[in-house]
Amino acid sequence: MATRPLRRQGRTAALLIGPFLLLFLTFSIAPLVYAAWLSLFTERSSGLGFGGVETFFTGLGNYGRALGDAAFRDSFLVIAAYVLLYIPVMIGGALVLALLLDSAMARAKRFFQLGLFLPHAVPGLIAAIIWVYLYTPGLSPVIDLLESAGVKWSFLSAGHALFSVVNISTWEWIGYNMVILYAALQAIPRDVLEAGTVDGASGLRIALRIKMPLIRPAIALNVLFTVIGALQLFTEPKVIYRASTEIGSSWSPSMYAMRAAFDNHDYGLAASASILLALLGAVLSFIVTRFSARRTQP
Amino acid sequence: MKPGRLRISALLASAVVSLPALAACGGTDSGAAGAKPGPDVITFRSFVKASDVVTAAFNKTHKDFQVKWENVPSGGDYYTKLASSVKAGNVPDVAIVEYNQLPDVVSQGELEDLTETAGPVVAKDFPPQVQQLVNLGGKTWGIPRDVAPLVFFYRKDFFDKHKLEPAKTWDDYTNLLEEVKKADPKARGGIFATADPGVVAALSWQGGGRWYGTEGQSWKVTIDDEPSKKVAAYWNDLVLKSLVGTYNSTSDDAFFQAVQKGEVVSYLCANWCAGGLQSTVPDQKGKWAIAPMPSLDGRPASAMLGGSAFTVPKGAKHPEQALEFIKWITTDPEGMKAWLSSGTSSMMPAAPALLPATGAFKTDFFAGQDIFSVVSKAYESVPAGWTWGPSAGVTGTTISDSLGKVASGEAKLADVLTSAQQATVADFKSRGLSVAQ
Repeated sequence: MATRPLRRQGRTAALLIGPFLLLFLTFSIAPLVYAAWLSLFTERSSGLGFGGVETFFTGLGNYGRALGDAAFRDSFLVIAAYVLLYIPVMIGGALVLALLLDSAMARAKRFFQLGLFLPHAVPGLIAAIIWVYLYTPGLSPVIDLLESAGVKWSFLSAGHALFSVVNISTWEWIGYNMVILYAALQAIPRDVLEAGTVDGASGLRIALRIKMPLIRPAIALNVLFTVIGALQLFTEPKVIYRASTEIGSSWSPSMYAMRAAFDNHDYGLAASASILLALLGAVLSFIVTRFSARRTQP
Repeated sequence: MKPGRLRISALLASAVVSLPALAACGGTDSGAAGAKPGPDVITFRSFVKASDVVTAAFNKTHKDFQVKWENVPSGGDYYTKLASSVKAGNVPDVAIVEYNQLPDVVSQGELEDLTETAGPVVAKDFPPQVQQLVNLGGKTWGIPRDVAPLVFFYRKDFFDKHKLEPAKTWDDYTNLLEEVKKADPKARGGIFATADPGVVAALSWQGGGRWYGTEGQSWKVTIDDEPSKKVAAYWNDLVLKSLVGTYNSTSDDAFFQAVQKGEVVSYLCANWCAGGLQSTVPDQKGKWAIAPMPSLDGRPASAMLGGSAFTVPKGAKHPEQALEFIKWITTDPEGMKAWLSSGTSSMMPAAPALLPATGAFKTDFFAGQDIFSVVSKAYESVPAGWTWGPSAGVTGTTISDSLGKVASGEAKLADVLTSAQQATVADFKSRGLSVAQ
């Protein structure tokens, strides 16, 4: 007798999962399979090459070429440097803002929450375009202002490009991360905090010694999500690329794949680079899920 | 006109089109102009100035079929779009291809072989240094429209005021640059373009370098040959001594700002720069002039920065009409006049017989100087023997990725040529092309 409600349950589940599954298969799994397929082939010409191209099976040859290419490996070093600068600045900033908002003295909480979150609502592409304008000498009011104060700063060259990209990302993501951390702070039982206050701990001490340890899982999750997001870094540097002398055409791994496919017509190499990037992302995602699973278990 | 707003929107537009993903998704109907209903409408994809005017002029004088112009962004994204169109079987009937990109486009199998139909036209109407750019592997792939010889643009008022003369040799040019800097510490008499590998190629070409050649069925790649390295060392020196200004390119906003402020009083560019200059800094009307560019020994020599041909993409549905239209816009005096009468295009016809058509371009901006006589002499002085190789992407990005480092002194231009040489040979080999040592 128990099978009927179970079957109905199964049908409901299928109905609920269906739309997601359809979109997921069409727009995530299918392109992934197609990319994996593409990555096994390479196009070859002969002689002067004016006779067009033929497609050949090359096995894992494209993967070897991608891994053997210093430009591809260097793009991961760029990501590493980016993460090392970006994570402390952005997550640290978001944490400080969340703690400030959560402190008893905070005023106009809703206003600051919304205001800080607002940049996240601006699409990354549009944000990057606006920032390029603010970074370009001769156009930027920011640079004019700095110069009138006697500071000479080039946003797009002289080793500052990484900072400029981190700046855009921080502007975009700090509010979003702050909201998550703030929500975690709200979930801390009030009696724990009251106990601290009764014991004579200052606001700062409560923040550092009680609140921060209690939301550590949320912080760690934010860090891991940010690292995974950083792997896909593309829009900001791609837009800045045109204006910057420092950012090259294969600065980030995604840009490398883009260049291989669309500048050099090397779809096999582009596909294998993308698959490698996706694999790394998958490994990190696996760590995240393991991590959050352990956290939710009692 | 509000230049500030214009610049911002230009920046926005350029940034948006710089995202190939977007460009590739763009529908084919975007920016269509001059279309009329009727069974025989061919499509014409082009990004050069006055494409709309020439389409309208053709449609007015031709009744048997009509042309619809598709506006497309220029630059690398255009070729991405062309490649995708061919793969998708959704090609225009006529497509513009720049000379330096043509071998790449041909080697991807994106074009129809026009040897039978356009071959005789190219052989009859065009000089050898241009034939060489559209005849690849013994076949003809397009009809040349324009050539783009380098000339020297200078502010005549500034030069007159400080008693300066355009330089005849490169040594003179170094002196000139020093004089300009002495006359006005903020002003520079030249620029180094950090985002335009084409300039490096053109200067090498003029200096006697040959980046690509063929030996039978093999490529010979010599991007870091002696003449090119010599040219590289010369410019490297000018950059390090801060005798030239550093800008992305001659179509860059920062560059035009500097021109507007009088911080760039002369520079080398192809003739097409004239159109852009007069439309971007109209208030400097009458102050500019054009002279031949300097050379090694003082004898006239130039090289091409740009220039394009019209081609028929593989799978085009109306190849015959396409060819008729291409002939009209490249070799017919009426068609040539249409390009130049718009006032925005200062292109130099590739067919020498059409030089009189350049009379349609008004030269008030150059105080009435007959700029096309200078340009056509420069065209005649372009050394023959230069061909492009099928590696516009790899060679170009390898160079342009490092030009910023040359400007900041972190890299040497001659070494950049060597790494471009290595990257290009590696790319050729990995694609299965035959490379002669």
